[in-house]
Amino acid sequence: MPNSTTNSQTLNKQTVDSQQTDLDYRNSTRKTFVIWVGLVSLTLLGYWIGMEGMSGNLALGLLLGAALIKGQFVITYFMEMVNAPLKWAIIPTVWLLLVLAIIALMY
Amino acid sequence: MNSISEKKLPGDFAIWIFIYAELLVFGVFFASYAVTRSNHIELFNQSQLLLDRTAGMINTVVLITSSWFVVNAVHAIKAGKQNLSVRWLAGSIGMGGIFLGVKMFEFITKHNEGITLSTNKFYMFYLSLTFFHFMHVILGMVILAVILVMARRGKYSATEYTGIETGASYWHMVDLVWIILFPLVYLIQ
Repeated sequence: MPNSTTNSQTLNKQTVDSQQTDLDYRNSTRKTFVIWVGLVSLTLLGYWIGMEGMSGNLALGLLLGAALIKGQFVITYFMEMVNAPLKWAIIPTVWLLLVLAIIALMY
Repeated sequence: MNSISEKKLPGDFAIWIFIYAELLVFGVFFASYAVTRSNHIELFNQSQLLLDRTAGMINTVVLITSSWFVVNAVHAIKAGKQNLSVRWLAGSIGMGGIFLGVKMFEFITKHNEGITLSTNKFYMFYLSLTFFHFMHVILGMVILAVILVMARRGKYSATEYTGIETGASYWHMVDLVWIILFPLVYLIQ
């Protein structure tokens, strides 16, 4: 009897763990889907600005701002820098800011 | 939830040295483009208008989607869903293929218009930058294909997924670079 109870408890724990893993996976794909929608929306905004032939500081600011947000989304959630040590996670963000700053200064 | 002590770079550490080096190279390329443009603004603006912006936009969406598929492949393997992870990886490779097809269409169109590296400074940058990135997409697809084969053979699991994370990190870098390249070369006037 004690063996049977232990086996049943182990089985229950495995089922609960499996359900939790499924839930975590569904939540993570839902989260990445929302980020994907944001990335695509910002891409379409940039495309619209380009097709409208907008130029000047406003267009530059919008396009670089969109690139900054998109880049940081990819760095944080796709590259999963959110889970990396700060000293390593900061490098792509600094790179992104530097590149966009140079572009802004030169335009 | 990861506590601070558990924080680590995803995948193999060596790939991150490679990724940071690649970012540096692309960063120098982008800065060179911006500096050169500042001395030839009219030429760059006029030449840029002749690019196929719709193709550029489609490729941006395709690459972002591919990156999204890859991150889902990583999450799937962490949840022990090997078959699902393989399917996400296959989808991301397919998206990479679409990117290459659209880019080839652009290259062939420009070639047929008689445009080469020596046409002018803008096209020198456009062709070299996008071709350099094109080669990175091919390398990324090879890496993803190797990972896919390994995943199908059951080499990865909910407890061992370093290989998938390593390839995914490289693929996201390819996406990140394009996110700058697209507005810089195709859109900003």
